[in-house]
Amino acid sequence: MTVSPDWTPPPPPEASGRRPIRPGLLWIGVGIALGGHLLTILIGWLVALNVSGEAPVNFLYVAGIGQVVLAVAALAYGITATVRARDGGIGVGIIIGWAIGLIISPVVGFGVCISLVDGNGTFG
Amino acid sequence: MMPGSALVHDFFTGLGILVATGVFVLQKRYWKPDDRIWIVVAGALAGGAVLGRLGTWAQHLDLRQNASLAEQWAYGNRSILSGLVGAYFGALLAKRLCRYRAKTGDLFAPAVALGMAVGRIGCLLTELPGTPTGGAWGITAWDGVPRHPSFAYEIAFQLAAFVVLLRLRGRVDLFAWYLVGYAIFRFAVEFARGNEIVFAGLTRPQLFLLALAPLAVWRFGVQARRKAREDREAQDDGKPRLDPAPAAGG
Repeated sequence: MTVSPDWTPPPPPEASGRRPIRPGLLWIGVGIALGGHLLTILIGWLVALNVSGEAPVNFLYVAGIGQVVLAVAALAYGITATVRARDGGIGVGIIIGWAIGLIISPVVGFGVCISLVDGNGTFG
Repeated sequence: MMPGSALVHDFFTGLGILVATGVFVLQKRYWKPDDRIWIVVAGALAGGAVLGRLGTWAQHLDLRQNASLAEQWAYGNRSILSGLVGAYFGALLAKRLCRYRAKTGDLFAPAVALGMAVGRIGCLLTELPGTPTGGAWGITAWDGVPRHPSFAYEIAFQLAAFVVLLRLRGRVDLFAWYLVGYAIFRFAVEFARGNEIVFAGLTRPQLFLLALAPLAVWRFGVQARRKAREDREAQDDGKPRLDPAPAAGG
């Protein structure tokens, strides 16, 4: 077996044991958090359609609780995973996705509210 | 805000974020930071999103008159000023967390400037634009009164800042200078913005900026001392000081 003269030994693993952030895993984390935001809106919408009372109020109530649960879960997991740095970036992606969703979700929620105020809760 | 225009406002906010993301990706290709930059991005986004929502909570010195945090979170005004502060401290915290020592602000500054230029289009289209003016450049909103187009002033500032930041890339601490420039501009434009005057002829954003001024002075002092120490150490070593690696800023 011959070795190229240009060959140099690969760098040793980092002493901290930190696993590098991989873009694929980062995007999975972003997707999980954005999916969580979508889920809070979806659950709120379904509850508003199927439970008696004022639909927009029910939607805001359920979606609001969902957002609180999502915030606690996303930040707790995201920060822990980021500090441990062994998940390849999923935790970092979850924090990024949660923060982006926090800015975008009012737009989607607003659309859902309009549809509920209009009466039938559909977008057709 | 003009009735029924929240969707337009939020649409341009979302578009601004998309544009800022695009600029950030291009800047990342230019500076080539290591993978921990994503942790800094996460910190900046989370800090900005949280403080952008909660930053306007303290409207009254008597805290009982303010909304609860839950009400503020759900229905309160969003604030770009407190969002920027949150993003700044979020990034600092994240850098401490992952022991990332390289400067990162140069990556963010042009993205923030262009993103805000786009986001402010939503404000221009949906909010009362400013104080009344007799000037020919005044624009008339739904109340029929010609007003200063203060959001157009800000869009012009952000576009100019974007160009200047790209030209100064690698020469100065871009994010710090951008923040100082924006703070001075914002303080001035508040006189034409038409926000509620709450104390000594000043609006809440102006008071907020005044409160942050000592922090900015302290920050620049720390940076100046650090640079002087580095120069001294380089001289003691008998070799010329190297320019900082291309990943400078906040």
